[in-house]
Amino acid sequence: MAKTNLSFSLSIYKKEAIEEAMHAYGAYARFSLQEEPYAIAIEIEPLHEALATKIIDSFCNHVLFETIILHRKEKGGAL
Amino acid sequence: MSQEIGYEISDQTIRYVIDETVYPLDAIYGASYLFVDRCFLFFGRAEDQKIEIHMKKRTDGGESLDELLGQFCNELLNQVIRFRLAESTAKIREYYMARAFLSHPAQNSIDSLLAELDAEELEDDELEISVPWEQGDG
Repeated sequence: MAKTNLSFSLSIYKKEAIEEAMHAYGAYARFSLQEEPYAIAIEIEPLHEALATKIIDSFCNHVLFETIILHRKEKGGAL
Repeated sequence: MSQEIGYEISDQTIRYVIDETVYPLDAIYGASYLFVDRCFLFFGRAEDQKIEIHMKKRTDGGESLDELLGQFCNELLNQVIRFRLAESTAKIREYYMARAFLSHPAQNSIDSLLAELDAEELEDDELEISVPWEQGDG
């Protein structure tokens, strides 16, 4: 199936959040992660062709959400 | 509107660059947190201090993409105000909390009032006026 490459800037996203999202979406897509100096490059291969776009978009939202949660925890809050 | 906030739409995705010196990352996170259930968001680092927002609608119906972006920008402003206000009042809030938790006089005054009440109960009534509840069988 078609693969999509995404670059998550480490000044915006957290690596732990990306890993958590990869774990959460493990049943819907295959991932490969490559660390770069200022970003993390992810190659996504959705397992369901018809839902490929939705899976990728949802994955990105999940990474963002986890990043926000982690960021707030680091600052001493909960949500 | 597109000229005012400079966005572009392609492939049902809206792209808009925001300046991090105007909108701090905390404000961007705050607005995003409120919008992740309404749209798909992806952020890219356009250049230093500039974040490119990629916004996509979750469903076909409802508001248009540029309306969604307008609402997101309004929420960004709201979050910036909250962030700046929190920053500017941080010291005074810390001071109030410290006062509330660490000040001893309030506790001392409660203790002294309780001690005073205890002392009163132990003293005998000088006038020895009998009260009904003290009148026993004899």
